[in-house]
Amino acid sequence: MESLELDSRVRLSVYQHFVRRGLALAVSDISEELGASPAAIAASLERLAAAHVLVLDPATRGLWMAMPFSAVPTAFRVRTSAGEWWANCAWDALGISAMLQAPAEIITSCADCGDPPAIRTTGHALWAGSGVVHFAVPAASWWDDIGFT
Amino acid sequence: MSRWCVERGRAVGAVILLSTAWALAQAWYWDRLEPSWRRRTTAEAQAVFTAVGLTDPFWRLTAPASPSES
Repeated sequence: MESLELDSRVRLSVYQHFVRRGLALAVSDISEELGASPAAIAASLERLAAAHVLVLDPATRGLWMAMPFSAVPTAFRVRTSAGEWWANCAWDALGISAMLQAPAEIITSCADCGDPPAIRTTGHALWAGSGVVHFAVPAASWWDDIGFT
Repeated sequence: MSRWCVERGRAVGAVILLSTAWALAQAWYWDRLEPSWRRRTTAEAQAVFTAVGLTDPFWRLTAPASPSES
């Protein structure tokens, strides 16, 4: 299998699993699903990370982010009738609803007052919620440390 | 927002309305589950920001060319 084709299938497998289960796949799971060796899958994940398509944990090289999904708990939880997911940030929390085109509730807390803002979407529009979102790092520098933007 | 950043020792970045964040989320992620999805080029990503009104230098994805480079 060509690297580009494998990378495309690995990416899709990761996203489909996130959508269905709310969890990141391990290398062994992807290997079994796609019928490729664990080494080939690990190499594919590294290529996808180098291309900024996915983000791997710096220490374990396991999946950390498949934007807008997060493989680890964060301050942003997204709930729909089909399931719940962690998002990497406010933008990504809204992005999960937009991507799934599913009505969603964003469960988080105001960084200033600590209150839970009532943010809801229809999947196609913002239905309830107001306020602002703060981006700390200029866009050109996001990939200097994608874990802090 | 400036007070909030100063109190926490953080640099003041960009502040956008939740409604703008939603527009950005839609424009950025609508096609992410498509099998044919590919990462946007820098120009394409910049066009997404521009389309939702994020035109401030904070959102510029490449540093402006210095006079010696232009």
